[in-house]
Amino acid sequence: MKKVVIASVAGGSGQTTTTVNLAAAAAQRQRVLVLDADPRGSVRAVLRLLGPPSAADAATTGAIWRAVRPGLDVATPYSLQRHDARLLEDLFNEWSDNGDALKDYGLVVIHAPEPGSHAFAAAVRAADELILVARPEPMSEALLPDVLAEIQKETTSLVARLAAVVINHPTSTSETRTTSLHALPSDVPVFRVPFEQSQLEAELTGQVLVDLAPQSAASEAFKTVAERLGLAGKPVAPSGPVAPLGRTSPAVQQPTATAASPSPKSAGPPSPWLQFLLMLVCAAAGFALFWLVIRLR
Amino acid sequence: MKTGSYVAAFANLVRGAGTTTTVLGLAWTLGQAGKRVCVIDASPFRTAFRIAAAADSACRWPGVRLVAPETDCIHVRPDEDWVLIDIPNLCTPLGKDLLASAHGVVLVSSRDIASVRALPLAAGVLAAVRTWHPDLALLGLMLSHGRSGCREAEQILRDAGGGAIFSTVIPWEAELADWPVQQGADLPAARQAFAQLAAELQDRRQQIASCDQVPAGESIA
Repeated sequence: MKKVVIASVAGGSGQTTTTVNLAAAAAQRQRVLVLDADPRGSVRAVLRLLGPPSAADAATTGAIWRAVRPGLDVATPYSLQRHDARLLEDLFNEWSDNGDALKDYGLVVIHAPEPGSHAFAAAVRAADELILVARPEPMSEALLPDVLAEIQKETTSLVARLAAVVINHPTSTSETRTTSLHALPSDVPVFRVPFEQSQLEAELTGQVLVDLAPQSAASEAFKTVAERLGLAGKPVAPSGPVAPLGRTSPAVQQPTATAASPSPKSAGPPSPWLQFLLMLVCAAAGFALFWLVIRLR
Repeated sequence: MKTGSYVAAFANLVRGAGTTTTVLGLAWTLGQAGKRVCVIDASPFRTAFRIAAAADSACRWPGVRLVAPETDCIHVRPDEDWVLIDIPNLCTPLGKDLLASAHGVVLVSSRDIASVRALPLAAGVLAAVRTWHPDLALLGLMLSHGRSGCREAEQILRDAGGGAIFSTVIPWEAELADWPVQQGADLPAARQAFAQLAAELQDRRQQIASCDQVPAGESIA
């Protein structure tokens, strides 16, 4: 069972949208728990989980809403009156003490609180992997180094922990804007999710975009992210390379072109090691051919 | 009318509503109008400093002083007309403490569904703060154009807010999003809208001071 925390660099990046859509995409083949660790309850707000959960489901800490959509449960450590970091830490302690607490789930997706808080640090520590959500705007770029440093404080290896960056385009006009994420380690895949008009309707009705408009480019993008990061459970059949292979991708230069191709930040020629390996393979093949020709004579 | 400085806290319902932009836009506008303004940046990554401060982290805007609550011991100077507190999250202990130190609070909200659904939580926090600071006035609810506005959400907010809604809507312009790129630059756009907002804020402050009670928006908090 994997625990993934979804954090955002600046406000309004689409953190909640990303959280619920990745969780819904992952819930097609396994059971997923979304932990709304945001003291303001943004996941609950987006999914319209405003009423109290049924009494039978009321947990000792916080609350849980079961089968919000097929395969998806939502939990929160907070109540309307209390939303301090200690409640979240208590829940994480409960999880680590009680091995059976999460046995029903194949994946836990944690909606992180705001960076720079105790609760944020607790969420980063509790998760196996981290997905950062950013928006193509200067404030996101300016805050990225500080947020990365904040994550680094709680982890031994930032590169191992940081699975991906998702950039949500808030409007169709902002898609032309390029985002330079200089502070990002070079091998972290970057996914771009285009603006989707149906998102407004999804919010209004408390639905998830991948259910409401499964064919939209944004839904496809979220599904691709879930698939590539191995959140979607065991794939039925292995299809294509999972890890980003190419160092150059058209998505880097043209953010509008491909919705969600992992595009490593730094574009350049293949690494010297790869070149060397390629040369070695060529030489070996040449030698083998030469040897074969000699023998056949 | 009250003399001396007035401490106005600005808090959002949902992150990314434009609180910092609003506070700095108002500070710049009030400063240009000859007022003395102290801006308290309570965000963990000093967002206001990134926009308003020059490279040496000093603010050069006329009449505006920029401070951070953790590094500076905040002494409001007697000649300062306004203290504007930028509260990034009113649910945190720091957010509640800062709310308790203010005369009035302005809620900044995007016109989206998430903000509508976050309204009860903000109301709960304000009610909790009022149990030990009963004089905290609700100056009103400022709507921001935000990135994705929604007509239904705006209608619900306007119905819920009634007279508490500021009539000027905080605009959303590309220049405002680019504001952090030039450190310490002047307000790049929407100067007229911010002048109207500043005037409205001034009116509400006087209104509250003269009748010494919350005139509108009791329905929210």
